[in-house]
Amino acid sequence: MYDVAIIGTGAAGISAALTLQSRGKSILLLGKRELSAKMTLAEEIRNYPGLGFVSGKQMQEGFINHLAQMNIGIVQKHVTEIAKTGDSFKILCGQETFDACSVILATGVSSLKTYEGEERLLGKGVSYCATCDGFLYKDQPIAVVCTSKDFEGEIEYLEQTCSKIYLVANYKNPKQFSDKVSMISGKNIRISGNEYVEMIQNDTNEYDVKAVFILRDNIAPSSMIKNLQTENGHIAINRMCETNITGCYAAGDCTGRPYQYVKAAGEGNVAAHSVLEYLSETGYKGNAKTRPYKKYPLSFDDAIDVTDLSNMPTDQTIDDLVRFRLTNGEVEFVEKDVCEKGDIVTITVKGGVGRYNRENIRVTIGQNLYDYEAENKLVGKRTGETISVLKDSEITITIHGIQTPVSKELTDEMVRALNNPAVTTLNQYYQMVKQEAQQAELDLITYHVLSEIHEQTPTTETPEEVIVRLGELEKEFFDKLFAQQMGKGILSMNEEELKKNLGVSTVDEFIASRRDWYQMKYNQLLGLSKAMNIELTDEFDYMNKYEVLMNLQTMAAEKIKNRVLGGMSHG
Amino acid sequence: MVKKLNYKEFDEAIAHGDWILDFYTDHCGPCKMLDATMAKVLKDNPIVSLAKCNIEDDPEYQERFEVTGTPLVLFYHDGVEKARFSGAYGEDKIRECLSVCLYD
Ligand SMILES: Cc1cc2nc3c(=O)[nH]c(=O)nc-3n(C[C@H](O)[C@H](O)[C@H](O)COP(=O)(O)OP(=O)(O)OC[C@H]3O[C@@H](n4cnc5c(N)ncnc54)[C@H](O)[C@@H]3O)c2cc1C
Repeated sequence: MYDVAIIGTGAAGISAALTLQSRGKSILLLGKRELSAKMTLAEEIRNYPGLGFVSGKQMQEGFINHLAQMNIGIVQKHVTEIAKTGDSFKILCGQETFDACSVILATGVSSLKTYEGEERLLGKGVSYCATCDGFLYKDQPIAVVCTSKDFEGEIEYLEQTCSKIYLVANYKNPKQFSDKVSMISGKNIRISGNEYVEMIQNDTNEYDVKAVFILRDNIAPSSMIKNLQTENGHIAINRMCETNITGCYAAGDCTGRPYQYVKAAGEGNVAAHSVLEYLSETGYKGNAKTRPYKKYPLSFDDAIDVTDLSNMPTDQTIDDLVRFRLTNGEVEFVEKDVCEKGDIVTITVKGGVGRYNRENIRVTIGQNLYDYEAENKLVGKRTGETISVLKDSEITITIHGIQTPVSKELTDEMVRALNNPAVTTLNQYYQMVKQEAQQAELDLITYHVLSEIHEQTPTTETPEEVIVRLGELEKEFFDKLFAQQMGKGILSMNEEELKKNLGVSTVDEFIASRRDWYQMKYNQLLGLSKAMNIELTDEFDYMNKYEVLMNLQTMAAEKIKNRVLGGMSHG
Repeated sequence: MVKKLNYKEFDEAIAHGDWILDFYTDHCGPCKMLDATMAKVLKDNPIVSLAKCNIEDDPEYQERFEVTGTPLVLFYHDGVEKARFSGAYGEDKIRECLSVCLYD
């Protein structure tokens, strides 16, 4: 959990980050490492105090250097959704989530208009997330409007699920998809349908579809976070940069005109101070650390440093998990005399209407789901007592019973009921859950570290001889593997057996289909070995050994584990 | 209490009491966000039960409840729908719906 998540790396977001970092708060700064496309566009800026005449490019450099000086790293992720859960916020970037006590929205303005029909049919066939909703249109025709190459993975997912895809690709050099995908013109796009999406139209044609997926870089803040108040397309804020959602602030172009660096930076500063006040008033505190600034390309240790390690399960989380799993959240209700917060009372209410005229309802005291005032007054009362509360009219509440929820005592018996011969005591079960939970988080961390390294590696053209050689090695490897596991290697299989096991009729066809993977593997080998400072010779000679990449990844996982668990025991 | 419900046992299971029905899929990010929130709400309100319904395992759910996006959350009191929302709303929204479900 971070003290604050800042969405956007323009003048507003960076200004907020600098202030909060100097006040010792933990920050998650989400955006782009090259900061803001808009910032670099400006030819000359003449009204930023102290800078004189500077170009957008110089301004960008200045901001980056300042972040480096303050040791603030940028997490290069695109936020798709923010949800307030209880006292904190969950920030969703595709499939990844982050937690923060507070949020500053500094997303700039989007020049993108919504399409005709988009808002009306949102959730009724119009969707912004392929992996969330794609399967609902299994074997059905759909359309995709895509504005960035970054989302091609999502299109690939839909390709596997849907019967037909009409694709509007509003970006340069889209990749070659399968025959299922037809490119259509993106001019004058309109989405129509009575209650659900029925059709997408462009300047030339109309297409019957069941859904339209709109995959765009810029999501309006109001569709990013539910119930956020806007005014004329901007986020509504007061002088303290507070939005209508407690703990959520906004700054910069996204809050309205004038669209100026200085105004954005100023509001970023105001928002930061409001966050400081909010955190001190509420006492909320994150346990994560601000990502440190690192120069790219990252070394292996750098890549671990910029990864969030604060979500390793604590003893408390493991306790809760064990209890939840063994009891399925079931509790026993034990009778008691005097009502306290957290108890469950059975009451009869008379004298009012609706919920104030009920027999034998159960209320959890202090949750305020029934009535704040009534629940407060019931504290300290006993079974049989009656209280009165003034609502529209005077109502009386009589207590028939008081119970307290008690989680069942955990026993070895419960563990044995799971029928795992290796785990028969609570202690063993606890250890197993702990190990599983730790390993799951370690796997996630390893994945983040490896993708961080992979992402920063510039793609090099894979020499043809490497592709051929990786294919040969894989051929040998699969031959041995199948011989071991099925009693027959792929090189000795006939056409029918190959079809059954590999889905193709010759081994060469299979190897040819793996071409993309060999190119990726080659690039991963180069990137990971460089980051780990390992020469690709001898035991790491990938031209002679099949498992080199796997071995490097295992070594990486081991190193990460030692660092994380070693660090935990020290403090 | 949390229960994974398949479609066959569904109607009988939720016929009595107060239930939150959580329609989800395994690969939906917002659904996972909701999980942690639900666990907290359940811990605070032990008189409510949660039914987890995987709409990919049981496509019948999709048709019957007109699921057009996940997560979809319905609130049932003695077998009757009282409230619903769709999307990764936070705890506040769940509590608001629960209040209606339990007492209105
Ligand atoms: C050509 C041009 C010239 C200009 N000249 C001047 C000038 O001379 N003087 C002046 O004062 N102003 C000028 N401006 C205006 C100035 O650029 C803006 O006012 C300023 O950049 C606003 O800063 P901001 O932080 O609010 O937003 P932005 O700079 O727009 O930054 C928004 C940031 O949010 C990120 N973001 C958005 N959505 C998400 C998401 N969902 N997840 C993660 N990150 C996200 C973006 O990547 C970006 O980093 C000019 C603008 C342009 C286009």
